[in-house]
Amino acid sequence: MDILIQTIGDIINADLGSPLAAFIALLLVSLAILGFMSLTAGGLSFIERRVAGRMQSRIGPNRVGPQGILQFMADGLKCAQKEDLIPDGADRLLFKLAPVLCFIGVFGTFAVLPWGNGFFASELNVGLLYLMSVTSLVVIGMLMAGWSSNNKWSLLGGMRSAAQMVSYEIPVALSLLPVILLCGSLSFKELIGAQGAMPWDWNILNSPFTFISFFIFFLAALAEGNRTPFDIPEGESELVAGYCTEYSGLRFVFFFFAEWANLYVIGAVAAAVFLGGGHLPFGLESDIVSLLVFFAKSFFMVFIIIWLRWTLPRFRVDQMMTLCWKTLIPLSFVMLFGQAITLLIYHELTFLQSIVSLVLFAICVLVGVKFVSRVLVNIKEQKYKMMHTLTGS
Amino acid sequence: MGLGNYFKDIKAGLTSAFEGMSISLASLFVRPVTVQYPDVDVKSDEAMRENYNGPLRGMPDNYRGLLDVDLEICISCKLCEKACPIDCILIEDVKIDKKQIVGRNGKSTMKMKSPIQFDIDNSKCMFCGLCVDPCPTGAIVHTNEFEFNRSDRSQLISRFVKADDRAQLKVRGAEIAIEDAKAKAEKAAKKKAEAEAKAKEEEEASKDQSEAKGTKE
Amino acid sequence: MKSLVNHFEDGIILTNVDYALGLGRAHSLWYMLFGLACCGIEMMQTGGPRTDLDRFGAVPRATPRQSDLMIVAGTVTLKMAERVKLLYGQMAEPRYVISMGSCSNSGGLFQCGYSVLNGVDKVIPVDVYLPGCPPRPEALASAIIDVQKKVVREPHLRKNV
Repeated sequence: MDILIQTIGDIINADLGSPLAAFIALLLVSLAILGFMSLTAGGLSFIERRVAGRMQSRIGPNRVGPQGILQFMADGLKCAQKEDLIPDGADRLLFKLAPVLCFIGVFGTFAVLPWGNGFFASELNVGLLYLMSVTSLVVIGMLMAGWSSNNKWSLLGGMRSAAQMVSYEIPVALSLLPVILLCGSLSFKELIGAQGAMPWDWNILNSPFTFISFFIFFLAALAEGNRTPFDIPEGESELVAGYCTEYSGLRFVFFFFAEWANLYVIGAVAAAVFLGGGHLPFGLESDIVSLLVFFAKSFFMVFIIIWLRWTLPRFRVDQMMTLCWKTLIPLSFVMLFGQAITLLIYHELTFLQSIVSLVLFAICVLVGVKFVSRVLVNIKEQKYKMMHTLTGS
Repeated sequence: MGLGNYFKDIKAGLTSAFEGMSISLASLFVRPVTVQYPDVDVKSDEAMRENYNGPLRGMPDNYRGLLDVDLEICISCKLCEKACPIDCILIEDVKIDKKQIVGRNGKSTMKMKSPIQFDIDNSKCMFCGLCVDPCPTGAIVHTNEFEFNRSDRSQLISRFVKADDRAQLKVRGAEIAIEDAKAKAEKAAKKKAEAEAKAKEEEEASKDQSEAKGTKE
Repeated sequence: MKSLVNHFEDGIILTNVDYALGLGRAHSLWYMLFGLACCGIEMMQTGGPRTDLDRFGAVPRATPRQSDLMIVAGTVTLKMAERVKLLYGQMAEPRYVISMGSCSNSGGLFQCGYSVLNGVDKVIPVDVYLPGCPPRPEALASAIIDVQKKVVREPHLRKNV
């Protein structure tokens, strides 16, 4: 894929004079991205089901293809064969438009997402800003879906998702500001370029303020992507299936795609902005390796999101809004000011930055070690329970 | 006070999330308990152990699955039909040649009748086991069979008597009925004759007595 | 897709295409969260760790629009029968129904009750009847396998003669 994008990029540069060639090249790029997005969304749905299964002591889909890896293809085939239902009282135009808007909102972000250190579908100097603004289309899509379905559950789900996503866009943007302040750019290329290979050179460990900003970004992005613990727009216990209650077949698949692709977008942004992009230490860095490292980091973040989903229960609506407006937004403002002051201090005392980064790194390692030890204890406990309590012997 | 609780709550939230995450991650490294059903035979504990290596157990021996009837030892007493709370058992029977049978409980009984129709409607049956308890020979029992899916409701009825057997039994039953009727008629005739003879004797005796009385007077 | 259904003559290509489409439909039977009585508890348990319906690609969906399989799990009262019919009507084609347990097969224990429908097949077409009171989780899994077999055999694009 990277080679494809590179060669097509070359073609664009070479034959930019001919509009037809540019058009074909753009078409090819977008098709490649579409393919990648479909594979990612499908693959992630399979991974999520397997991980969810294992976390609940089940297995998960394992009958279609080797270890069930073709499960998402079966789902896609099935959904393509489903009857395309449009309710009688629905606003037909908006009903048809809504899934497309949701899809475009997520698909558009792939235009500026980095694929490693040097690969971009289009290298925008306001990449982050573009990403933030294009994601807003998803809100409109969901609200449109909720309203046009002419179903009270859909409408409630749509309203909730609009309220939630509009609110949480603010902490997402604000928590990215400290890093933008640090790197002085909105372009993904420069954001990645400003970071080093070692963990203490990453933006996340630059200062305590970027460290907390990362968590604010992560939480708010989860909420913006409608993921548990913030998935109240589609909470089955309250609203039947939220805004997509009335959607069936391929129209539902568009929402489904948007949701899972959004997962990857969150992971990729976090990896690019906070976690050092595709850099690798000890001179191992090359283009292909950076691609792999970047994917590894993104999918690790996606795994954490999945892991969170199957661990934490759902928030209540008012709790979620309180968390956003009363905690995350003020906190992210504090982080912004703190980072601004820290930058001034770092400017005066240059050695301080590496000390702070190393201390933060040490704290992370300590928490990690503690966590791993807890995990080991829990593994032992669960194995003991498995052997002794369930059999009743 | 308020502020203290606020931070306490935050701490509790963070630590519980930490612990919860560690528990769910740990479960990734523990073998799942799932019994892969069509590949693993769950019908008994021993059969399940062959392909499954986990803490769960197979079906117990006294599992109440589909009902099975051993027509050889069924004496068609219809106790099960009466015991069924939802009338899902239907029995029709004919007389057969008497034979000695040994029930499942070891007692030997004389079998006089045999069912020509023994239907259990599995779409109604609630697998309560009330029909099994009163059976004197242990002919009706629960198996541990549970796969009995049909695409038509009428196919859910288990018919235990085969059509050939039914025809044979019916023919033989008719013969026996005729023989029985004959025997009954003979018996009745014999009885009648006996009765008549007895009546005659009695009459004579009473005559004699009255005569004797008369003579005495 | 709807315009293609039941539209073609038999042929070797279409038979194979139909088979592939059938495999897709069979291995992605999303069932509706729809428990009416005690069988509903057994249905939830079937989705749980021991039997794990997710292995067959069957996951619960909350809305009838996105579900392919309705598991009528429990006693269908006359009042609920209307809702069952409505929900079935709201499901998108192709849709399948499992009648789970004696109560929904024929009324079962409650067949003489004044408020009980004697068999859910009086209101909606049923593909697989599953006896049991309630059936054990493996039995429901076997019913789902039966539905899968039926789905794979089904000619979808070819004319149903």
